[in-house]
Amino acid sequence: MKDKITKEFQEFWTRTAAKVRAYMFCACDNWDDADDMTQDCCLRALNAWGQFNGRASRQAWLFGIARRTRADWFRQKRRRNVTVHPDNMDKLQKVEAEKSNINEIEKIWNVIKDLNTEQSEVIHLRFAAGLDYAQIAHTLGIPIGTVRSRLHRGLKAVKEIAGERENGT
Amino acid sequence: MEREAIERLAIDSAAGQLNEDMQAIFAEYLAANPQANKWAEDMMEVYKMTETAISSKTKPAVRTDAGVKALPIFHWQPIARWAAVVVFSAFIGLAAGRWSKQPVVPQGPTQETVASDWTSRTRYLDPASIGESFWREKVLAMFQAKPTAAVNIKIMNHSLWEKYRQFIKERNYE
Repeated sequence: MKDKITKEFQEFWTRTAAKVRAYMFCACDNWDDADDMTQDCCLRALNAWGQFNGRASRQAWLFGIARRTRADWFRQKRRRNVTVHPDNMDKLQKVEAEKSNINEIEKIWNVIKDLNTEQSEVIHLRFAAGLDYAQIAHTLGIPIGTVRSRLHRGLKAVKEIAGERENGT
Repeated sequence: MEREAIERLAIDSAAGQLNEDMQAIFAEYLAANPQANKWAEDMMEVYKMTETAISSKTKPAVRTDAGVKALPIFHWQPIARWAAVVVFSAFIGLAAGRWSKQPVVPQGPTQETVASDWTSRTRYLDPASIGESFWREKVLAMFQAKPTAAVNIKIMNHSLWEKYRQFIKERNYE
Protein backbone atom coordinates (compact mmCIF):
# COMPACT_ATOMS: atom_id res chain seq x y z
CA MET A 1 0.00 0.00 0.00
CA LYS A 2 2.76 2.38 1.00
CA ASP A 3 4.71 1.49 -2.12
CA LYS A 4 1.67 2.16 -4.26
CA ILE A 5 1.18 5.60 -2.70
CA THR A 6 4.85 6.41 -3.13
CA LYS A 7 4.77 5.33 -6.77
CA GLU A 8 1.62 7.33 -7.50
CA PHE A 9 3.06 10.38 -5.84
CA GLN A 10 6.35 9.98 -7.67
CA GLU A 11 4.61 9.88 -11.04
CA PHE A 12 2.47 12.89 -10.17
CA TRP A 13 5.40 14.85 -8.79
CA THR A 14 7.55 14.11 -11.85
CA ARG A 15 4.83 15.70 -14.00
CA THR A 16 4.29 18.78 -11.85
CA ALA A 17 7.60 19.52 -10.11
CA ALA A 18 8.79 21.95 -12.78
CA LYS A 19 5.58 23.95 -12.49
CA VAL A 20 5.82 24.10 -8.71
CA ARG A 21 9.44 25.17 -8.97
CA ALA A 22 8.52 27.92 -11.45
CA TYR A 23 5.68 29.05 -9.19
CA MET A 24 8.07 29.24 -6.22
CA PHE A 25 10.63 31.12 -8.27
CA CYS A 26 8.06 33.76 -9.16
CA ALA A 27 7.74 34.55 -5.47
CA CYS A 28 11.40 34.86 -4.54
CA ASP A 29 13.29 35.41 -7.83
CA ASN A 30 16.01 33.09 -6.57
CA TRP A 31 16.48 29.47 -7.63
CA ASP A 32 18.07 28.39 -4.36
CA ASP A 33 15.12 29.60 -2.32
CA ALA A 34 12.74 28.24 -4.94
CA ASP A 35 14.35 24.82 -4.60
CA ASP A 36 14.06 24.96 -0.81
CA MET A 37 10.39 25.83 -1.05
CA THR A 38 9.78 23.19 -3.72
CA GLN A 39 11.37 20.55 -1.54
CA ASP A 40 9.30 21.62 1.44
CA CYS A 41 6.18 21.54 -0.71
CA CYS A 42 7.06 18.06 -1.97
CA LEU A 43 7.36 16.72 1.57
CA ARG A 44 4.10 18.34 2.64
CA ALA A 45 2.31 16.96 -0.40
CA LEU A 46 3.69 13.47 0.19
CA ASN A 47 2.56 13.55 3.82
CA ALA A 48 -0.90 14.76 2.84
CA TRP A 49 -1.24 12.52 -0.23
CA GLY A 50 -3.74 10.23 1.42
CA GLN A 51 -5.89 13.13 2.62
CA PHE A 52 -6.83 14.28 -0.89
CA ASN A 53 -10.62 14.42 -0.98
CA GLY A 54 -11.07 14.59 -4.76
CA ARG A 55 -13.15 17.77 -4.73
CA ALA A 56 -10.77 19.40 -7.20
CA SER A 57 -7.98 18.24 -9.43
CA ARG A 58 -4.75 16.96 -7.94
CA GLN A 59 -2.95 19.94 -9.46
CA ALA A 60 -5.19 22.45 -7.73
CA TRP A 61 -4.74 20.53 -4.48
CA LEU A 62 -0.95 20.56 -4.91
CA PHE A 63 -0.82 24.28 -5.66
CA GLY A 64 -2.91 24.91 -2.57
CA ILE A 65 -0.09 23.28 -0.60
CA ALA A 66 2.50 25.17 -2.63
CA ARG A 67 0.78 28.43 -1.86
CA ARG A 68 0.76 27.73 1.90
CA THR A 69 4.41 26.67 1.73
CA ARG A 70 5.25 29.92 0.00
CA ALA A 71 3.34 31.95 2.57
CA ASP A 72 5.07 30.13 5.46
CA TRP A 73 8.44 30.68 3.86
CA PHE A 74 7.86 34.43 3.60
CA ARG A 75 6.60 34.54 7.17
CA GLN A 76 9.77 32.83 8.37
CA LYS A 77 11.89 35.13 6.27
CA ARG A 78 10.24 38.16 7.79
CA ARG A 79 10.80 36.70 11.26
CA ARG A 80 14.47 36.26 10.46
CA ASN A 81 14.39 40.02 9.78
CA VAL A 82 16.73 40.15 6.83
CA THR A 83 18.09 43.65 6.53
CA VAL A 84 20.28 45.22 3.94
CA HIS A 85 23.42 46.97 5.14
CA PRO A 86 23.30 50.72 4.29
CA ASP A 87 26.59 50.44 2.41
CA ASN A 88 25.05 47.86 0.13
CA MET A 89 21.88 49.87 -0.40
CA ASP A 90 23.31 52.00 -3.20
CA LYS A 91 24.71 48.94 -4.90
CA LEU A 92 21.39 47.20 -4.58
CA GLN A 93 19.47 50.14 -6.03
CA LYS A 94 21.97 50.37 -8.85
CA VAL A 95 21.59 46.70 -9.60
CA GLU A 96 17.82 47.02 -9.50
CA ALA A 97 17.97 50.00 -11.86
CA GLU A 98 20.24 48.11 -14.23
CA LYS A 99 18.01 45.12 -13.99
CA SER A 100 14.97 47.12 -15.00
CA ASN A 101 16.70 48.33 -18.10
CA ILE A 102 18.01 45.02 -19.35
CA ASN A 103 15.21 44.17 -21.70
CA GLU A 104 11.52 43.83 -22.14
CA ILE A 105 11.32 40.50 -20.33
CA GLU A 106 13.09 41.88 -17.27
CA LYS A 107 10.86 44.93 -17.35
CA ILE A 108 7.67 42.88 -17.36
CA TRP A 109 9.13 40.57 -14.73
CA ASN A 110 9.89 43.50 -12.43
CA VAL A 111 6.42 44.93 -12.97
CA ILE A 112 4.85 41.61 -11.98
CA LYS A 113 6.99 41.57 -8.84
CA ASP A 114 5.63 45.01 -7.94
CA LEU A 115 2.00 43.95 -8.25
CA ASN A 116 -0.03 43.32 -5.14
CA THR A 117 -0.14 39.78 -3.78
CA GLU A 118 -3.68 39.01 -4.98
CA GLN A 119 -2.92 39.90 -8.56
CA SER A 120 0.59 38.46 -8.70
CA GLU A 121 -0.60 35.19 -7.20
CA VAL A 122 -3.20 34.70 -9.91
CA ILE A 123 -0.64 35.59 -12.58
CA HIS A 124 1.92 33.15 -11.12
CA LEU A 125 -0.63 30.34 -10.96
CA ARG A 126 -1.78 31.01 -14.51
CA PHE A 127 1.56 31.53 -16.25
CA ALA A 128 4.13 29.70 -14.12
CA ALA A 129 1.99 26.84 -12.86
CA GLY A 130 -0.20 26.62 -15.97
CA LEU A 131 -3.45 26.18 -14.03
CA ASP A 132 -6.81 26.98 -15.60
CA TYR A 133 -9.33 29.32 -14.00
CA ALA A 134 -11.16 26.56 -12.12
CA GLN A 135 -7.95 25.20 -10.67
CA ILE A 136 -6.76 28.67 -9.67
CA ALA A 137 -10.14 29.32 -8.03
CA HIS A 138 -9.85 26.11 -6.02
CA THR A 139 -6.24 26.75 -5.08
CA LEU A 140 -6.99 30.23 -3.78
CA GLY A 141 -10.42 29.37 -2.44
CA ILE A 142 -12.17 32.09 -4.46
CA PRO A 143 -14.88 32.08 -7.18
CA ILE A 144 -13.85 31.83 -10.84
CA GLY A 145 -15.24 35.34 -11.47
CA THR A 146 -12.77 36.71 -8.94
CA VAL A 147 -9.94 34.91 -10.67
CA ARG A 148 -10.91 36.50 -13.97
CA SER A 149 -11.14 39.99 -12.53
CA ARG A 150 -7.84 39.65 -10.63
CA LEU A 151 -6.11 38.42 -13.76
CA HIS A 152 -7.59 41.28 -15.75
CA ARG A 153 -6.58 43.87 -13.17
CA GLY A 154 -3.12 42.38 -12.89
CA LEU A 155 -2.49 42.39 -16.63
CA LYS A 156 -3.91 45.89 -16.92
CA ALA A 157 -1.52 47.00 -14.20
CA VAL A 158 1.35 45.32 -16.04
CA LYS A 159 0.40 47.19 -19.17
CA GLU A 160 0.09 50.54 -17.38
CA ILE A 161 3.23 50.27 -15.25
CA ALA A 162 5.31 48.95 -18.14
CA GLY A 163 4.02 51.81 -20.30
CA GLU A 164 4.79 54.36 -17.58
CA ARG A 165 8.33 53.03 -17.13
CA GLU A 166 8.86 53.08 -20.86
CA ASN A 167 7.78 56.70 -21.06
CA GLY A 168 9.81 57.63 -17.99
CA THR A 169 13.13 56.21 -19.27
CA MET B 1 -19.61 46.35 -24.96
CA GLU B 2 -17.50 48.23 -22.51
CA ARG B 3 -13.74 48.29 -22.83
CA GLU B 4 -13.29 46.28 -19.63
CA ALA B 5 -15.59 43.53 -20.87
CA ILE B 6 -13.71 43.40 -24.19
CA GLU B 7 -10.38 43.17 -22.36
CA ARG B 8 -11.63 40.43 -20.06
CA LEU B 9 -12.91 38.41 -22.98
CA ALA B 10 -9.61 38.97 -24.79
CA ILE B 11 -7.74 37.57 -21.80
CA ASP B 12 -10.09 34.60 -21.59
CA SER B 13 -9.66 34.00 -25.28
CA ALA B 14 -5.86 34.14 -25.04
CA ALA B 15 -5.98 31.82 -22.04
CA GLY B 16 -8.14 29.35 -23.96
CA GLN B 17 -10.89 29.63 -21.39
CA LEU B 18 -13.69 30.49 -23.85
CA ASN B 19 -15.68 27.68 -25.34
CA GLU B 20 -15.88 27.33 -29.13
CA ASP B 21 -19.20 29.14 -29.51
CA MET B 22 -18.11 32.06 -27.36
CA GLN B 23 -14.83 32.23 -29.21
CA ALA B 24 -16.62 32.41 -32.55
CA ILE B 25 -19.05 35.08 -31.37
CA PHE B 26 -16.22 37.14 -29.88
CA ALA B 27 -14.15 36.91 -33.07
CA GLU B 28 -17.16 37.99 -35.10
CA TYR B 29 -17.76 40.94 -32.80
CA LEU B 30 -14.12 42.04 -33.00
CA ALA B 31 -14.19 41.81 -36.78
CA ALA B 32 -17.19 44.13 -36.84
CA ASN B 33 -15.77 46.63 -34.28
CA PRO B 34 -12.29 47.98 -35.05
CA GLN B 35 -12.07 49.91 -31.78
CA ALA B 36 -12.95 46.82 -29.73
CA ASN B 37 -10.50 44.84 -31.83
CA LYS B 38 -7.74 47.33 -30.93
CA TRP B 39 -8.47 47.03 -27.19
CA ALA B 40 -8.55 43.25 -27.43
CA GLU B 41 -5.31 43.11 -29.38
CA ASP B 42 -3.57 45.34 -26.85
CA MET B 43 -4.67 43.14 -23.98
CA MET B 44 -3.73 39.95 -25.82
CA GLU B 45 -0.31 41.40 -26.48
CA VAL B 46 0.13 42.14 -22.77
CA TYR B 47 -1.03 38.60 -22.01
CA LYS B 48 1.53 37.14 -24.42
CA MET B 49 4.31 39.40 -23.16
CA THR B 50 3.58 38.38 -19.59
CA GLU B 51 3.48 34.73 -20.58
CA THR B 52 6.79 35.07 -22.43
CA ALA B 53 8.43 36.94 -19.56
CA ILE B 54 7.38 34.40 -16.95
CA SER B 55 8.12 31.36 -19.07
CA SER B 56 11.57 32.62 -20.06
CA LYS B 57 12.41 33.59 -16.48
CA THR B 58 11.25 30.25 -15.14
CA LYS B 59 12.62 28.17 -18.00
CA PRO B 60 15.39 26.58 -15.89
CA ALA B 61 12.61 25.09 -13.77
CA VAL B 62 12.15 22.44 -16.42
CA ARG B 63 14.87 19.95 -15.92
CA THR B 64 15.58 17.30 -18.47
CA ASP B 65 17.28 14.02 -17.85
CA ALA B 66 19.51 14.47 -20.89
CA GLY B 67 23.13 14.34 -19.87
CA VAL B 68 22.29 13.28 -16.36
CA LYS B 69 24.05 10.11 -15.42
CA ALA B 70 22.83 7.98 -12.61
CA LEU B 71 25.40 7.57 -9.89
CA PRO B 72 26.66 4.02 -9.45
CA ILE B 73 24.84 2.34 -6.64
CA PHE B 74 27.02 0.54 -4.15
CA HIS B 75 25.60 -2.98 -3.80
CA TRP B 76 26.59 -3.90 -0.29
CA GLN B 77 24.45 -7.06 -0.04
CA PRO B 78 26.82 -9.46 -1.87
CA ILE B 79 29.77 -8.09 0.09
CA ALA B 80 27.85 -8.47 3.34
CA ARG B 81 26.93 -12.02 2.35
CA TRP B 82 30.55 -12.94 1.71
CA ALA B 83 31.68 -11.22 4.90
CA ALA B 84 29.10 -13.28 6.81
CA VAL B 85 30.42 -16.47 5.21
CA VAL B 86 34.00 -15.57 6.19
CA VAL B 87 33.02 -14.69 9.76
CA PHE B 88 30.98 -17.88 10.10
CA SER B 89 33.83 -20.01 8.75
CA ALA B 90 36.28 -18.35 11.11
CA PHE B 91 33.94 -19.03 14.03
CA ILE B 92 33.56 -22.67 13.04
CA GLY B 93 37.32 -23.00 12.75
CA LEU B 94 37.96 -21.35 16.10
CA ALA B 95 35.28 -23.42 17.80
CA ALA B 96 36.62 -26.67 16.33
CA GLY B 97 40.11 -25.77 17.50
CA ARG B 98 38.96 -24.58 20.89
CA TRP B 99 36.95 -27.71 21.79
CA SER B 100 39.01 -30.39 20.05
CA LYS B 101 41.22 -32.79 22.09
CA GLN B 102 44.86 -31.97 22.58
CA PRO B 103 47.10 -34.04 20.26
CA VAL B 104 49.10 -36.76 21.98
CA VAL B 105 52.74 -35.71 21.92
CA PRO B 106 55.13 -38.68 22.28
CA GLN B 107 57.06 -38.20 25.48
CA GLY B 108 60.85 -38.61 25.52
CA PRO B 109 62.63 -40.86 28.05
CA THR B 110 62.38 -39.66 31.60
CA GLN B 111 65.41 -38.80 33.67
CA GLU B 112 65.03 -42.02 35.67
CA THR B 113 64.93 -44.17 32.51
CA VAL B 114 68.07 -42.51 31.20
CA ALA B 115 69.82 -42.95 34.56
CA SER B 116 68.92 -46.65 34.81
CA ASP B 117 69.96 -47.22 31.22
CA TRP B 118 73.29 -45.52 31.92
CA THR B 119 73.84 -47.64 35.00
CA SER B 120 73.09 -50.85 33.12
CA ARG B 121 75.53 -49.91 30.37
CA THR B 122 78.37 -48.71 32.59
CA ARG B 123 78.02 -51.80 34.75
CA TYR B 124 80.34 -53.60 32.38
CA LEU B 125 83.01 -50.89 32.64
CA ASP B 126 83.84 -51.78 36.19
CA PRO B 127 86.38 -54.61 36.08
CA ALA B 128 85.73 -55.36 39.74
CA SER B 129 82.11 -56.24 39.09
CA ILE B 130 82.47 -58.16 35.87
CA GLY B 131 86.18 -58.86 35.39
CA GLU B 132 88.05 -58.99 32.14
CA SER B 133 85.60 -60.60 29.83
CA PHE B 134 84.28 -60.63 26.34
CA TRP B 135 81.32 -58.44 27.25
CA ARG B 136 83.53 -55.78 28.87
CA GLU B 137 85.53 -55.51 25.71
CA LYS B 138 82.35 -55.13 23.74
CA VAL B 139 81.12 -52.36 26.02
CA LEU B 140 84.44 -50.51 25.86
CA ALA B 141 84.38 -50.78 22.09
CA MET B 142 80.89 -49.37 22.07
CA PHE B 143 81.96 -46.34 24.06
CA GLN B 144 84.91 -45.61 21.81
CA ALA B 145 84.47 -43.07 19.07
CA LYS B 146 83.90 -44.75 15.77
CA PRO B 147 86.06 -43.69 12.88
CA THR B 148 83.87 -41.82 10.43
CA ALA B 149 84.37 -41.04 6.82
CA ALA B 150 85.55 -37.54 6.08
CA VAL B 151 82.61 -35.45 5.22
CA ASN B 152 82.96 -33.61 2.02
CA ILE B 153 82.05 -30.17 3.21
CA LYS B 154 80.86 -28.02 0.44
CA ILE B 155 80.81 -24.32 1.06
CA MET B 156 77.62 -23.02 -0.45
CA ASN B 157 77.35 -19.48 -1.53
CA HIS B 158 74.07 -18.82 0.19
CA SER B 159 72.09 -15.72 -0.47
CA LEU B 160 71.27 -13.32 2.32
CA TRP B 161 67.70 -14.66 2.46
CA GLU B 162 68.95 -18.29 2.76
CA LYS B 163 71.34 -17.24 5.52
CA TYR B 164 68.56 -15.55 7.37
CA ARG B 165 66.30 -18.62 7.05
CA GLN B 166 69.11 -20.79 8.34
CA PHE B 167 69.58 -18.41 11.25
CA ILE B 168 65.88 -18.62 12.12
CA LYS B 169 65.95 -22.42 11.91
CA GLU B 170 68.97 -22.65 14.19
CA ARG B 171 67.54 -20.23 16.67
CA ASN B 172 64.26 -22.17 16.82
CA TYR B 173 66.14 -25.40 17.21
CA GLU B 174 68.08 -23.98 20.14
